[in-house]
Amino acid sequence: MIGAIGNIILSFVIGILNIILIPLDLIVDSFIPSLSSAFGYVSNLIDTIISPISLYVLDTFMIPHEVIVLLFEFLIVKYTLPITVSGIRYALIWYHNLRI
Amino acid sequence: MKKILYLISSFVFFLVFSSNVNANKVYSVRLNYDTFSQVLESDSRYSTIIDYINNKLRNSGYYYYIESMRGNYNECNNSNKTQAEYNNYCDLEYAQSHGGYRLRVIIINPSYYSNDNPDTRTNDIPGFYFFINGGPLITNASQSGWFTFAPVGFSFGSDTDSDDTKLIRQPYDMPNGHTTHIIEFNSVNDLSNLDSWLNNPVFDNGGANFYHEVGYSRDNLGLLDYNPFNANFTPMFIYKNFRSECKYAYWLSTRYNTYFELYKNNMTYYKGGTVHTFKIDSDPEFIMSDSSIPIDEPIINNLGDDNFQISSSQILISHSSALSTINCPLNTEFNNNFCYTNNSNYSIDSDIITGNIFLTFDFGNGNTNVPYLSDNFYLFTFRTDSSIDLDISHIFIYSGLSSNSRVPIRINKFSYGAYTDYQVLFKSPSGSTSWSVNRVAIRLNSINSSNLSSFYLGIYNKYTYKQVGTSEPSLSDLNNFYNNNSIDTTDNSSSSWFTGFHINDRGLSSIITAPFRYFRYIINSNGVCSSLTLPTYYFGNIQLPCVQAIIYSKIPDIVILYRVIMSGLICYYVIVGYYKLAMVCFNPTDSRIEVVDL
Repeated sequence: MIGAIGNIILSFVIGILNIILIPLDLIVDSFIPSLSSAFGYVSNLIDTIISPISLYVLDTFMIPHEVIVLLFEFLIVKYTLPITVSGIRYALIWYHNLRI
Repeated sequence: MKKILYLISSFVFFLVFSSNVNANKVYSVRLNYDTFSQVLESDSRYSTIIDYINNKLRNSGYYYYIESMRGNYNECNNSNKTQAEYNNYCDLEYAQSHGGYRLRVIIINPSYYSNDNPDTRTNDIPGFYFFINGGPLITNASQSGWFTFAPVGFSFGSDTDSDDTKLIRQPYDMPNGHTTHIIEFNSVNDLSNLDSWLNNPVFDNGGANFYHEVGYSRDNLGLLDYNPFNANFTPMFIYKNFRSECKYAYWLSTRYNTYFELYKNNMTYYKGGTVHTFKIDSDPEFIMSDSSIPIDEPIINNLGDDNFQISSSQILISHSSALSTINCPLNTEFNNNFCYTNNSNYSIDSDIITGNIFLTFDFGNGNTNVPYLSDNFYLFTFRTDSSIDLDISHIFIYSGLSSNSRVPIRINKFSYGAYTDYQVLFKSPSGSTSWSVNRVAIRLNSINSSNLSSFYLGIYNKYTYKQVGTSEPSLSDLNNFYNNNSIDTTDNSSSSWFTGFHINDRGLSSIITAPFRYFRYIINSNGVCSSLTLPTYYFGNIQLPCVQAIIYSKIPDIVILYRVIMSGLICYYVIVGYYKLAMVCFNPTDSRIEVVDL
């Protein structure tokens, strides 16, 4: 359950960031194509790192994967739940104000 | 309360994780550190220039080659430059940002070759010479005509001693005074310079500018020794310019049939260099890719898929150390220690005294009516040890075989004595339906079986490769080899590794979201650690097994204890954290989140 929530939160954040950054990416791609390519290469490098290599590195700590996942999910919830709650709160406030 | 939580969590994780040590998998690791060439190939402006040059020169009778450089060649070679200036002038991106492309074509006066015809040489064995790790492959004297030979990839030593110059053994050292002409292209506008020169071709005297040093660094070898058996293999050259300290001068080649003449250089000022000159055939077929360019996409497609269909004349021949159990491949027959087929002619022989192995590829013995003599090219790959397949690969291509198409190759046992397996890959990508030549004879009985645990000879095409393995392939393996038309079905883990390696068009957002993607990857992964395989030149594939597995095999009790303690601590931290989080969310007096207003 928590894992699913974590996945949803991460996907949501990634999607939001992608949407926000699309205009900037398009600008860079249009006017500075070489820089866009450079971003692509850096991204490729990151993708390479986010791979079994990262699992290899984590393995050196000899901590069970499930524990690491539990920790990561907790961190996700910890740092996103208050923001989420606040966001809902403000949304409700706006809603009430609009009704008035 | 905290102690109870700690004890409970420790106990739970002890039960769950104490005996779980993940099994190893093998992955190949290769970082794409050669972005420079991708910039070149992905930039249509370069392609425009290269195609223009090729169209102008490939049938002109001139010897030429194209090279690209980082930055301005002349400026880059100016020793008076400061390091900063040098970096600028030698940097392609700098050149690009300033509107420059830094390509140049080196045209060689063909009159030079009129005085140095390989056909007329008497004091050397006409042929070509490759070496792998210092040991040359030498042809015998039966080769005649120009060396219709186009190497696409080598394995060189990482040092710069004399071995590295033995790419081609040649008795005639390239004279210093032969004439060349160099046209540099810093922009598309410079293309007119080529036209102007062709209208009045005058060669410059005394230039030796086209000499190149084969100064391959060890890092580059990782690119050169790329697995040729999957779709992403990247035949290429990477040359250092012998004069400059430029890191790379990328050889883009011509993508066409190329006659290669390679000379061992003995010029005193020239350190460890090998000189290459080229002659372009009038029948363009040969392609050469720069590094990191998947050959199946930007390059091969230029030639059309029809050129890369597998033909019906495929053969697969295997040899095991037990000669008595030879199984001839499909469509072949075993007779008197020979496997025969009706497709092409191979022979494998060995020198009983020296132990050298001879591979002879006989393509018709002068039958000029055989279409493949000009239409096909062939890829042979020697693999000396299946466990280090990425490092000792040796790839070269025949193109436009002459009428006397007997092409023998000798593998020097001295060079390969340390290895046990050989593989030869035969490529006929032209897909010519009319390709039907003499029978193949693979002589197996004279091979020194003690030095060969397996032998593999098969036709390679763009989309089909099935590594049978080091043991005798079964009939089903052979059938799979013939029927497997999808590169995706290859079970080579390294190929899958590179499958998703692509340029992300949304690079910036991808970078920013990288931490989140990392979290998501970890959460969704199975947590199985995989051994890292690092291909090296001299030591084969270095496998880095997972640390936990190693330590666990040595001190399992301590590992379990460590994991229990660490798991307990983390679990404790998480549980307490969730508890605090819940208290924060539902505590109306907490000022951080005023959830009470909800």
